[in-house]
Amino acid sequence: MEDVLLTLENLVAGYPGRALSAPMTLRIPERARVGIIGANGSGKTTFLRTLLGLTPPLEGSYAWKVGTTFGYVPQENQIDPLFPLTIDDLLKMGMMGKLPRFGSSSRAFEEAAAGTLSELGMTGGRHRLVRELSGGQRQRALIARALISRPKVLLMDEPFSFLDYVFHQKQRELFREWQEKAAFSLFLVEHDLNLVVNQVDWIVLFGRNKTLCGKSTDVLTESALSEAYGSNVRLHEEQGEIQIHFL
Amino acid sequence: MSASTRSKVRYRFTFYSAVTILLLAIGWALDPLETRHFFQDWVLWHEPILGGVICGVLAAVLGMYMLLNRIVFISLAVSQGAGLGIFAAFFIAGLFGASLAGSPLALLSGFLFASLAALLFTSARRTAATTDESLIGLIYCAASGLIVFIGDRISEGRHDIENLLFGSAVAVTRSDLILLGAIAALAVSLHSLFRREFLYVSADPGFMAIRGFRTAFWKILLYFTLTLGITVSMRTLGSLPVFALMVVPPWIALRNARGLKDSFATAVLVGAVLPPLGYYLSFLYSFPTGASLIVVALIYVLAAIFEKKVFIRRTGGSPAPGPG
Repeated sequence: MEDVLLTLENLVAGYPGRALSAPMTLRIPERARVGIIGANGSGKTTFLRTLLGLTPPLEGSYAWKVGTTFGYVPQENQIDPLFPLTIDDLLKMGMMGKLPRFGSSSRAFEEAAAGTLSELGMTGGRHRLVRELSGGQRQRALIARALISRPKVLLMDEPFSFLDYVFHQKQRELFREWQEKAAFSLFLVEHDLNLVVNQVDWIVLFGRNKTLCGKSTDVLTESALSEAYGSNVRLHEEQGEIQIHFL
Repeated sequence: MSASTRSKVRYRFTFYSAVTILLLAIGWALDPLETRHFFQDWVLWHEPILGGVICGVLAAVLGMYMLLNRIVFISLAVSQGAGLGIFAAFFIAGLFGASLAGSPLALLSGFLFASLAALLFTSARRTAATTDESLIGLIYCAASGLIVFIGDRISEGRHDIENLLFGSAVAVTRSDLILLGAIAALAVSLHSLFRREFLYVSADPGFMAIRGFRTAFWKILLYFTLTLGITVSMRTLGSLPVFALMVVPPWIALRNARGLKDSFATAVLVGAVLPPLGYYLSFLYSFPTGASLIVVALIYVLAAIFEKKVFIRRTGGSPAPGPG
């Protein structure tokens, strides 16, 4: 039996005067893969920001297991292109606190940087400026920044917008591998339902009037999805994977 | 520093040294006698010039953060806050019949008011639903209005106030130089020790907060060094030349350099050469020192535009967005 990673107690996410979710109560175990889905503007990103402590909850509370470390991949690059940051700087940002106060690098950083970039298929060009990278390369660099410190929980906000299918498949395999080795959990906000439902086992579904959360087998029903998206949804299995169609 | 960064820094050092030598050569060709006097009278000039170089280096480092955070005019608001502090100190001393001539209290009051202006900006920036420019404008407006308001009731110490506010670039004493050097050493040490915290918190505060860093603390510390640097440099060079030194070298660096180390090295290099050349121009043609420094800064802006057009484009330079 896995330990509880995250506890939600009547948690309401949103901004003052505008609640974006119904009260949520849930216990998510370690090694969980959680998909956060819902229509545009339904509150997925705000929920993620609430879990990260960047936006205070409107009501209720949440608690992470003590000692949990986080990696975060934002929806889009938050860094002003005026900053002449290189991929190397991004990786250092992800390793802050473990870098020497004097000197620009350390053996531990060099090994972690080379390992992470190789796992993500990014070889060479560590000194390239982030603002000169393509959308996909930049997204990979942001994923590398989130992963270099080997966090226990990785939270990603629509990370696949700029990424190709091959990288997406590779990343799925990589996360599965890590989950087998360590207590690694994944929280994934994604608007492409077919991308997300087959790689998660827990779902938080932001609907128009209610928020459903629980095991994906319980939450992913045609009626719940139809109500959340305001459109008829058909759910079926194809080659062992769930396929969702909007009618 | 990687080999490629070293070679970029070397190239930029060569380019801006060449520009500096060219300007000196032009000055010498136009007026060889005065140029000879300028170098012969080094004993008279060395303290103000050294003070100018320290101010230039300090302002270049601090100015990089101003431009990167897109708050260029914060230095004007902060220096106006310092001005209000100096006026307030003289006003209060006048009420009690005391004199502040030669006392460090006025400068201390200037620093406290400048810190208050910076603190007001950082706290309002986090909570108020308004742009940075509006906040800076409000602080500048309030400080300027209060300076005129209080200034109207100050009868004594005008000369001392002007010295503290606009500096006396040609009359930098040894004690001024020691104070300036000590504060610059403190600010540059803080920036060297906590360079990553200052830079990364400026670049992506959300990510750094998730990594467990107290972003508000690092921003306050950054603004503290800005305030300290502006107050003490303003006293040496005056507020407009300090503003120019905080804007021009970082602007050139962010426009033409690649990478953080290259950018900071370029800003420091340009920041260090502008004040001596400003003094030189002022000496040759008896122009006001502050204005001469700004004219020289504009020549470097032209040199940077030339560098980008001729050298960087050819070698595949960085498509940096326009800073500021």
